[in-house]
Amino acid sequence: MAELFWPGSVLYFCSCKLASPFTSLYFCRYCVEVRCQLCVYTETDSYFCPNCLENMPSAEAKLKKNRCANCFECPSCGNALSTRATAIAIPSDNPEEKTTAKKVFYLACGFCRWSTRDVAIPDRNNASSGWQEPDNPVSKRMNNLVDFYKKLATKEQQDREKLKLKKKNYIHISASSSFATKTGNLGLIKKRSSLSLMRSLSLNKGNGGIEEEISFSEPAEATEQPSRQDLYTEVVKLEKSSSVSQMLAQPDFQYSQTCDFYPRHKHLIAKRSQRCRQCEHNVVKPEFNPSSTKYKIQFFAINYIPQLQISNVPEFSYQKKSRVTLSLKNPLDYPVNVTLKLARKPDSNITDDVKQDELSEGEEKGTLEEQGKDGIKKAIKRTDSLSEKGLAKTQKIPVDNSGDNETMVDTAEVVLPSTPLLLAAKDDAAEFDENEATTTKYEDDPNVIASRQANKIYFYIDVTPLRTTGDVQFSLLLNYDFKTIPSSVSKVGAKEGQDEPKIETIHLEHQAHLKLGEISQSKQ
Amino acid sequence: MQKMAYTQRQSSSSGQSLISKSKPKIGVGSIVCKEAEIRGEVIIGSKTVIHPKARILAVRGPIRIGDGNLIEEQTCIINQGDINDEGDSTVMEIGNNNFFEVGSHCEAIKVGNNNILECKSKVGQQVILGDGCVIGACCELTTNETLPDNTVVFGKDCQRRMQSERPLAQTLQLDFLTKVLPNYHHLQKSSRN
Repeated sequence: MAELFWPGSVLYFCSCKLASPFTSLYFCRYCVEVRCQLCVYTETDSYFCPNCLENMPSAEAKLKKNRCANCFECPSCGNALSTRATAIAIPSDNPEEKTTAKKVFYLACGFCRWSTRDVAIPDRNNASSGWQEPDNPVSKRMNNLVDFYKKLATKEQQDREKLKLKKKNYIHISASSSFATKTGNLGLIKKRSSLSLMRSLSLNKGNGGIEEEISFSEPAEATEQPSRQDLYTEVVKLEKSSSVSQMLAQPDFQYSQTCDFYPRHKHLIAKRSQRCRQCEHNVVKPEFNPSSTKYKIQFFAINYIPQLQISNVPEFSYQKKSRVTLSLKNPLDYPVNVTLKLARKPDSNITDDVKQDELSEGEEKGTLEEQGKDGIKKAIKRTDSLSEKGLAKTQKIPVDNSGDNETMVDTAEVVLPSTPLLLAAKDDAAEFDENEATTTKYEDDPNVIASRQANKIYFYIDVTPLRTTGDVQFSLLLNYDFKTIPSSVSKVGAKEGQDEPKIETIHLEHQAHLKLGEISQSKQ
Repeated sequence: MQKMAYTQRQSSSSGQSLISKSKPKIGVGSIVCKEAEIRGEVIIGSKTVIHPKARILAVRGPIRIGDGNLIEEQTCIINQGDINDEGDSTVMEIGNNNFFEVGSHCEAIKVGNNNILECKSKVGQQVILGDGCVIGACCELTTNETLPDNTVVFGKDCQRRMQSERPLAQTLQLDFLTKVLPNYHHLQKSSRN
């Protein structure tokens, strides 16, 4: 399933020319553009604990160092620890009396079976409290340093202000404050207040308000012999020493022995929303409730752009035409006509000759660049037209991330269906509909359309590999009309509530890159 | 699946002469379901529970199972031990209070006491399990070694650590199963001796 939805075989191009898997793309409805992970801002909405799903305000999260107050994680494997209750018998002082049972609690990991008893942490009488984290041995020093640098920062700030004041040619203090208030010269009062600042600065001129000097520790001197000779002689017990990831999970202690482990508070995780870089509208916004997996806003590409998938691939061999079945699915709630075009003409002269290969690649790169420029021009044009219509806020310079792409070369001659492909509207009830009314409505050419299922079609393309080795891959363009209600119009329409909101049709073109698989070398 | 087929084939071809048709010896108070596949010379101690569809195959030599073990469904315990020059086969010995969870696979010639083989774990022929070891879910151990007592193997990289105390015996679960299983399954009778 993951293979189906996260394939490298079909890549869509973002408006920034970067090709990404379809599932990682967004579609900004306001810009009417595809946005990839690089074209959105990521914002943190809220913090919550993945174990108890309790929400935490960001200020509190910062204070608690992004850790949950109640949940603990296993220092051995990182899973959440659960509290276990057990009864222990306490022998009473009076030998005649029976031993009394007492309920005690300890923490245990359900995955690696680590427990607080393993490291000889005493059991607790109370289930909810008492698991204090050990104090950081260097916390005092840390606080000292933080204080020092805070003071340093304020001193520097004051110095800067002093310089500013010196540059200014201010009035001398002979004018008294009473004079200033009488005449209502507020400017003078201001000057005076800045003057008092001056005075306060000059008071602690000596060390600039920093009382204690920070002593820096002496660097250790390198010696021939390591300080721990036992490292040479002792047998390493791997199961008793901690791994790197275990040590990094506790960066302030970094215990090298597993017997020193201590349960730590669970890390919080964040709910994040995505925002379009161009128009700064939200493209994805999850619901606030941590236990909810739904979205308030979800402009995923999969909900707006016809989804192209590879359905059936035969074995390829050099210069042999083979028929590939692709599928196209319409996620929109109106029928769509998709016209497929090749992104670029494949160079028919491609042969195995390395030199020619290089040449052709160079040429293709050239054409690519040209296309890139064209694309940018188009983008500018489109944003222009959109801004005229009030769709886009401001026009920004289009980003070009095409340099991050892997080399994408057409290695096959492809014959695409010449007629537009008719896709039925998405109907949520379609799968419950027994009489397939939608499929019979269309008169399909059996040479082009293999089959049809509600809003999805399977169609054929003919592929002739032009190389003897490597992947069969090519780029194509999907052209269709996207209907949208412009944001400005929709607002007006909603207010009046009389007119039908004006639906605007925008012609969209998306580029997709398909990797169909390797060319088999057995038959040559 | 392939592995299972392989073991089956091997047991039918090479084991024909070795596997006697003798019924397993079952101790007092043990619950052995009829649907469990027990082949060859198998001796089961007392208070052991063997679920239906568990497989205990004494292919290359006898298997001796101790007391208070819990062997769940789709567990496969196979003796694939070597036969020495004099023609003596190795005896596979499983101690007391071991817990074989669903789908575990054990070829170890010697298993101590209080061990847990979690779901889908696999212990190879060359491994000797001590006491109180836990082989985590899906962990495979095919090395040639003796596992020290109270070792826990866990995670997808088969990390190891030492436990301070051995896992507790499944007494409650055993008692419960001894009551419940006879209500729903046909049992193999325990032998009188």
